[in-house]
This record gives sequence, structure tokens and C-alpha cells, in this order.
Amino acid sequence: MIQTIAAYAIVAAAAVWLVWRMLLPATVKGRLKARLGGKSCGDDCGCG
Amino acid sequence: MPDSTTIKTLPLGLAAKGFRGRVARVGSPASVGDDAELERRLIEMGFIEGAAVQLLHEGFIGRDPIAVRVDDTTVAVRRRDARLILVDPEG
Amino acid sequence: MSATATPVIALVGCPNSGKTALFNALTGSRQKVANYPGVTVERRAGAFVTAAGRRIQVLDLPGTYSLRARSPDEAVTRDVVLGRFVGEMPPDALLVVADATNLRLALRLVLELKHTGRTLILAVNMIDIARRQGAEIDLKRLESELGVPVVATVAVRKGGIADLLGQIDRTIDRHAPQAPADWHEPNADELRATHHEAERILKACLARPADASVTARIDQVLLHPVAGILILLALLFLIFQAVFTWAQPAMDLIKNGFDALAGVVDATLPKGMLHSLITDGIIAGVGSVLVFLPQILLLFFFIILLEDSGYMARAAFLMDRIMGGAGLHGRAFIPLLSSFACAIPGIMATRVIDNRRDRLTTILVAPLMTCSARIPVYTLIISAFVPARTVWAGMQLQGLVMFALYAIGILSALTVAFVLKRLVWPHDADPFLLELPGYKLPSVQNLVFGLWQRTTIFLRRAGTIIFALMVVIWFLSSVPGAPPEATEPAINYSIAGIVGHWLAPLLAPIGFNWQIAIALIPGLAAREVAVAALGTVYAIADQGEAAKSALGPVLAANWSLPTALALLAWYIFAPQCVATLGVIRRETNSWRWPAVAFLYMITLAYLAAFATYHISAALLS
Repeated sequence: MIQTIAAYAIVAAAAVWLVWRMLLPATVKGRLKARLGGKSCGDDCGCG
Repeated sequence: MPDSTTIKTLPLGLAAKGFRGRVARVGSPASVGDDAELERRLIEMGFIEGAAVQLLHEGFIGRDPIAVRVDDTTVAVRRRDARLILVDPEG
Repeated sequence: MSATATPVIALVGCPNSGKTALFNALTGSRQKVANYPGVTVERRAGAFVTAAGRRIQVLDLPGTYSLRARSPDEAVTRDVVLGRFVGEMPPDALLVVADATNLRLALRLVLELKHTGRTLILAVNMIDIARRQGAEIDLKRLESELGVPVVATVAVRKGGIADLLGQIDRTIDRHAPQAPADWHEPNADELRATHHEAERILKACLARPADASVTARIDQVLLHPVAGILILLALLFLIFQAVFTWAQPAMDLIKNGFDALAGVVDATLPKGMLHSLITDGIIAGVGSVLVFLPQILLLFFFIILLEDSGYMARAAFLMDRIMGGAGLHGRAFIPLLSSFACAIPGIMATRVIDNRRDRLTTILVAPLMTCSARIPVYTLIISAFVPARTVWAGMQLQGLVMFALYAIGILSALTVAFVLKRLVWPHDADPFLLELPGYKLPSVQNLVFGLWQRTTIFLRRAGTIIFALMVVIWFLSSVPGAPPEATEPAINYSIAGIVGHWLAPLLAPIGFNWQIAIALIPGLAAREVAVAALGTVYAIADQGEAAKSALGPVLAANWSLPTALALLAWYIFAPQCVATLGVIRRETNSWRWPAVAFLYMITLAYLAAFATYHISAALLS
């Protein structure tokens, strides 16, 4: 049971991250980052 | 330098391997569109009126492309693009 | 610029001026390689500390002969230099790098850059080679003629770097008021005028030009119409051999390492979902991609050597007509060659092609070259269905089929390139104008840097995007799990199984049964994963090599010969590799091109499999 929960958590994290990294347009990312108060655009910004 | 209107002037695209000479003219005042752009690129690579040229090498198929020594630079160019460069043979 | 901000210096120079070597000498390992936002141009940034203890940021801009940009690379250089690039600080000074053996074109660039109003420093690089070749350059005179400080450097041996740092300190300190910026795109006559001015300065400063007779003598052989091509082919053969044989021990080591890792997980974690995710999903999936690292490094080893020595331009010269027949640029052949190992480094290597459309064409056809991930699929089906007999003059039928699969891959890549170039982008005839630089000994430092950068880029990809994709694909092929009373293998009940059953009617016309349809879904992760998936579908309990040898007879008993041949035809074209689509997305910075690649490849795969299935069925009946 614990294994299942852990596995699903990893899958969910990977899926969210993939959507963030590959599907969201850069403008949306920038707005979200600004709202979250994150740092300015890093080196990886816009590259895949 | 011979006058650029003498009969000996030829496009670099038609020159044979071993040809030595000088650039008489690049492009023409009438060059437009792609040719005008190519003219500027050729000048940037050193193909300019008065530059010494020597045709060093040519490719296997259709003797194309050609490697040309232009002053101190060696440049590879297709014969089709080298048609814009008019050259006078040396001597 | 505020007093506290780190000053930014941008490196500008003609291609082959040793700009990147100077960048490496200045920054050492303190550099970052990424992409500029919105374009596919590599952004190389670093930092160093001057003698005065000042920290300076440095940006290595793509090489260009002029600010009149034609390629996306050159546009980045122009926009950064002019301070127009959004998200990039306008540089406080430009460090112009010139090849001392070939100053004329660089001087013209310096004269053009003076119109940008930026503070300039000229580094006359490779001064040692120029002096050895008998060149006599009056640097003081050059400085006064240009009105720009001049420093002589030998970037590959860090010569002159101290002088350069001192000059940078003085230049930054001076806070010289920026000259008026009146740069505009020069027309042909303005280009001529600057060129004549450069010519005049050169005459005044260059007592004797460098003697290029050594390069000329080498070119007599390497550019010979017959010998040159033979040497190039021999070189390609050597690279091909090296990639496939020398890399093998290292690849086995990586594979064994991942197997051992799976063993450790087996021993420590009880069977369950997490266990399955880690072993079947992450370790097997990421391992199947990481195993190509040795091949990729070997390829880039050769590519960097050829590039740094000056041979790559010659290879492009020799191949231009051959590649040009199919509408490809002469420079496309190295990326296509690389794609025989794996399309990922091949697509990454297309950065050497300046023209955007030439580069896109190469990127789109690169996945058609037979990459090594197809080999396990090909060998499995061939060994199961093609009789091992000698056909003619000692040639094995199985080997011939393998060769035919490679040949079809190459031919279809050339055909697709031809179609793209002639029909889709018909008006694009980019001139082939390429400087053939003097030959140089490649520097070990640059080689090590280059390989290190490729390794980190690849590992970062494997650790992030590929990792996440593998996790998602594992989820699709194992959730929901099998019910307790299940008689079929678990994958049948998963999302992949459901989709596979769904797809089965669509794939029936090309001779695929539902087992193949299911195996194709996890096979999206990487082509060779389909072999393991087929093993799962046919409930072969063994793993690895044992499964492959056990699977052959099972397939032979279950599939007809036309089905097997159709699957081979499918695999020549099918875009069954998420990592490749991901790298196309990254390199083109758009979803459009991976979508185009996926659609055209899957269409070709379907048509090829359809034709193969029906023609072979008709012939065999």
C-alpha cells in the first residue's frame, strides 16, 4: 500500500513537471513564477 | 590591370582549375533580390574588385564546388554562385 | 551601467578565429551552456576575475563576418551587440577576436563594429601560428590606425591572457563615453568602402603576410577530387567502426551497472508498485538511453577533432554535390552519420548548419537513419523469421536483410530531404559559401571541454526529461494492475493494454495483432523497449538475453511471415522514440517540428508496413 502511494506520488510529480517544462508557454511560466515570487528567469528558461 | 571590358574577362564560375587573376567586378549595378544579397556576402568573404584570386581545387562531380584563394583567405563556393564574380586572367 | 553591476564583455569574431578557445582560456570551467530564449542558438556564458580583482561576465557570441545577419546565430550576435536582445544585458565592451593569419576580414568587421558605438578591444589571436608562418604584424600601428586597443593572444596555450586581462581592466576603468551609434545594414558600396579601408590598414601594418603553403600542400591531397573523397570515406568508415566497436565495452559496463542496480533494488525492496516503478520504469528506461553515452562521446570526440583541425569545412566541400543532389547541405553529412548511433547526437550536431531550412531538413530526416536502438528489434525478427542460409558467394541471407534495412533507411532519408527541399521549400537556394581555414593541431583542452559539455547536456536530459517520460510510460503500462483472477499478463489490463486493444483494428490492415499493438506503446519510450514489451505480452518470464532467445520461437509460431516483414518495414520509419521527438522540440524550440516529424514518419511507417504486408502475402500465397 505504501509502495503504491509512493509510486503514484512519483508519477504525479513527473507528470506535473513534464507539463510545466514542456507544455506551458514561456509567458505563462513567467507570470506564474512572478506570482510565486520566484527568482528571475534562469538559464534554462525557454529551452525545452 | 586590363580594362574590364576586354574580351578576356570571364565569370569565375567558368574558370578552370589553376586559373590566376584579379577580380574585375562583383555583381552588377542591376543586381536585385537574391543576387544583391549574394553580392554582399561575396564582398564580405573578400571577393572585391582588385583582389587576387586563384582557383585551387574543384569538386569531383561537375567540377563543383570550387576552392578559391582570395588574397589571404581560401573560400569554397559553388560555380553557380561564382558567376557573379567577373575576373581578369593574370598576365 | 551602475558601479556595482558586473561588467559584461561579449566575444565577437569571424568563424574559425579561435573565439571559443579564447572564451575557454578566459573562463576555464566557469561556464554555462544553454539556449537563448526563443531561438535555437547556443548561449555560452562565463565569468572571470581580472588582475585588479574585478569580476567580469563574458558572453561567447556566434561567429559572423558581419552584423548583417542571415542565420539565427548571426541575428543573436547582431541583437546582443546592438543591445536589442530582450533579456540580455547590453555588453559594456566587445572583445573582437581576429585570426592573425587572416586579418583582412576581421579588420572589416572591426570597422563595422565601430559604428555600434560600443567600446572595443581587438585580440589578434593565434599570433604564434602567424609568426611561425613568417607574418610580421605591427600591433602598435594597428592600434593607432584602428583607434582600438590591440592585444596579441595564443588562446589555446593561454598566451597573452594576462595582457588581455590588463587591457580589459584599463578599458572598463576608463569609463569612456560611448561613441555615437550609427550602425545600419551596410549596402554593397558601403561594404566595399570599409573593405578598402581595411585593406589600407592591413598594408600599413602587415610587413609580410603569413605563408599558407603547408595548408595548401595538405589540401593538394585532401581536396583532390579522387583521393580526397577516398580519404573522406576511409575516415567515415573509421568513425563508424569506432562508434560501433570501441564503444561496446563501455556500453556493456553501463548496462551491467544498471542491471546490478536493479539487483540491489530487488534485494532491498519487496515486490510492489514502487519496486516495479524503480526497476521496470526508471532503471530499465533511463538505462536504455544512458547506454548510448559512450557512442555519443566517441562521435563528438571525432566531430570536435575534425572541426578544430579545420577538416570539417573540407568534408563539407567534398560532400556538397553528393548531398546537394538530395537537397541537403554539405555540412549535413556529419549529423546524418551520427544518427547511425542515435538520432539525438545527430540532431544536436545539426548546429553546424547555418541556414535554418537546411538545418530543419536535416533534423527531420535524421531519425530515418538506422540508429542502434533498432538493432535489437531487427535482430530479433530476422533471427526468428529469416532462415540462416547462404544465398550467394558466402553472403548470409540474414545479413543481407539487415543491410537492406540500413539501405532503405538511407534512401528514404535522402528521398524525404529531396521532397522537402524541392516541393515544400522550393525557392530556398542558399548559396554555399564557406571559408576553408588553415589546418591547426586541435587543442586537448578544447577537446576535453567540448566532451565534458556534451556529457553534461546529455546527462541532464537523461536525468530530467527522459526520466520523467519513463515514469509516465511505466504508469501507462502498469496501471490499472491485473485483477486477482487474471489469466493474462498484467500489461493487458493496463492503460497501454486498453489503448493497444483499441488500436488493434487500426493496425490489423498492416498485419499487426493486438499483442504487437500493446508492445508498441511502451516501445514509444525507446525502440528496443518493444522487445521487452513483446516478452511481457507473450508472458515470457525470463529477462534480457534469455528472453530474446526464448521469444524468437514464440514469435515464429504466432506470427505469419508477412506480419514479421511488415513490422520490420514499420520500424524503418516509425517515430518510436520520445527522446528524439523531445530533442527536436528542444533544438527547434517549437512543438511544430516534432509534430511534423511524428506525423510524416508514422504515415510512412503505416504505408510501408501496409505495402509490405499485402505484397508479401500475395507473393507467398
